[in-house]
Amino acid sequence: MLRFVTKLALVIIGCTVLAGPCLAHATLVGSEPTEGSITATPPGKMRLSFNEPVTLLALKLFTPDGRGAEITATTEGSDLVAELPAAGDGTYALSWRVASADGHPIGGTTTFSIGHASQRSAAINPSRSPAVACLIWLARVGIYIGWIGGIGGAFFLTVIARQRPLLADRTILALIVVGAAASVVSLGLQGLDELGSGLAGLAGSASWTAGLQSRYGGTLGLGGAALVVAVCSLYSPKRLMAAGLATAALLMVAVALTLSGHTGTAAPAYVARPALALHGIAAALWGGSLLPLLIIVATRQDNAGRVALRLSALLLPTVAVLALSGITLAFVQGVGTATFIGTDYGRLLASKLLLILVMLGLGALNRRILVPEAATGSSLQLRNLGRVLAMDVCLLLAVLAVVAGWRFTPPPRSIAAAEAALHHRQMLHIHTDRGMAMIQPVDQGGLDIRLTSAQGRALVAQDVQVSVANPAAGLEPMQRPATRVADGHWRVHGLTFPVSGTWTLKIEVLISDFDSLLLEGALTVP
Amino acid sequence: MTMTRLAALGAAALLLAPVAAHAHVTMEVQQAAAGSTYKAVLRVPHGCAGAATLKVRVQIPEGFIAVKPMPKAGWTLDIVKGKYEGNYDLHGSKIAEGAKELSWTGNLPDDYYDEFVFRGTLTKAFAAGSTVYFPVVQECEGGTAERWIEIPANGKSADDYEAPAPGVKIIAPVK
Repeated sequence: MLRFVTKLALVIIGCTVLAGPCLAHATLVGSEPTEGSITATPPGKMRLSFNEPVTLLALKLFTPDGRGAEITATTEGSDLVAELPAAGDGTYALSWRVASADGHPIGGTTTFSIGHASQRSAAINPSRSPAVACLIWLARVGIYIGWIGGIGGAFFLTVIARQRPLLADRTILALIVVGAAASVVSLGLQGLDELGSGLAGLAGSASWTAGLQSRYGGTLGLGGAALVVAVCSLYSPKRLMAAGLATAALLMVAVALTLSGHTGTAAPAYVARPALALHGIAAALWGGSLLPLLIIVATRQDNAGRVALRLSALLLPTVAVLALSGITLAFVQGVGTATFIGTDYGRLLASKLLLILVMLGLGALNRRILVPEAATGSSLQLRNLGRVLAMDVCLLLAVLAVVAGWRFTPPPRSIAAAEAALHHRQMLHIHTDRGMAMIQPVDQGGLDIRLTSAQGRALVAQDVQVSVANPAAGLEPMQRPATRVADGHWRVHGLTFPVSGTWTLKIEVLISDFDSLLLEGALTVP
Repeated sequence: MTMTRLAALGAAALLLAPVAAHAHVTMEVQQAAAGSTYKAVLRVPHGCAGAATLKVRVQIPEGFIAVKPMPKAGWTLDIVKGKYEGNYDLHGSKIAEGAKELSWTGNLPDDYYDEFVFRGTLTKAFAAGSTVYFPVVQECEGGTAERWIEIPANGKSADDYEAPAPGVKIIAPVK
């Protein structure tokens, strides 16, 4: 027993001597590139500087696509130098875990960006495959060709032109067939998109059923019926009946437009829906007349000059209606000066307006010079009119392509609503007996923090530090200081979440020199 | 199991707790009886991430009365006095005010270790089994600070925190 005690004492003394002086935990004192910095070119390597030599335990680099990979590093004094693979633009996160000289492991995550900061932000739209998106867009363009070109064209031929070559009828019929085919495909694609399945889902019945049951199904049904009525109008032997059928088709399309889509659902409905219907009618009148008029002019029909003159008289009020209803629609969709350039919706609108302006310029040229002279029988001006009309048709196709793009861009009003809803869902409440925190993700990778005391008043604090970690993904804590906005209101800037999932969140609130409050919760990053 | 291995295990077990606490600011004596005089020896193992310590501030918890710091060569002492929340009886006399905060101002390089001593009376207001905490702020060169002020929530221990306040566990009063 004495021997045991002696040995125990010896081992204790040995261990104590070996343990040496009281050691502190290591601390990261700097990095190159520095935390949160943006470099123009890939840095090649990253240097982490500690206040004392450390032993590397784990090192993981997260690339902008959210994938993490183990990488290696060499030790240079108390620095760690990690070799970074050559990589593309975006934000990178280097998660490190090291052992201090006292054996205590510490970890952290340091972020930097190449070129620009990429942010894993709240997704508003579920992801869809590019192939499906492309097909949806193409089908949408096809439907517009049928509605604007086909039905508008039938109206032009039966009501305005009356006498027309067979080629015009056949062309319009072809446009209607394109529209009908696109409508059918669109129905399946809509269901596919709603179910979130891939292109292969078109083979099953589920996506078609879903498409039929959607609001868009009603639009396509009525629009399809309008296409049939337009065909009937083209084949109607009686002029008056033909004109009546074409007008009915136009009205049906106008109603179909209001049955779905984000304009049809905009508030107030009594403004949005009539405006949309008028916009559709005016667009079909103008756009639908271009191709058949081109055919009449190009085939040198006897009545070409007169038809052009008649149309010209009709187009001025049509364009006025188009512009007024368009402005109204932009207003109800919440387009403002800020959203015009700042959102995809606004950019599409700007492109559309630019194209329309060119078309209006050409229209003015037609109206002032070409049409009046062509009407007098000038064959030179008739040829010029044909050229301008051909340009107009191309521009119209571009306009339809742009308008079809709106299928993918929620208007500013619903972006705002979606963000509000998302924020509410993502709002995190942390309650303790001493106080409460409400945390909300904000734009450009930040957190908005509101602190209240147990009495419900704004919690006055000296300092707030935020630490987020994703242990499941192997990401060590990232620490960020919060800046004070007002009493009880703090904000963290530039907090990038390299991977999605559940993040643990720690908020350290320094209330007074000797008093702090630790709030812990979990944050979901979609 | 050989005696040597047993001895090594025992040594490791004995050493484990102090090693884990090495990096924190702690009290040398971590338990005391309610109603007794307590000599607090505050152990400061390091500066703030390598920076030298320029000031050590201790908040005196309510119920720890008649506090006097021990003078320390090279360090300027400051005592912030104020009213206690309650009235306490000390050897028959009522005490309602005294030191609320102590601070030592000087210079302790990160490479050195030092201790800061004060003494006071733990009143019988402390229940046996509870822990009384002495939050410490260590102010360093360059305006940095280490705050040893975290007080464990119910069901948690000081080990769950990065920078726990030094604590003293109260044991039953000496009769």
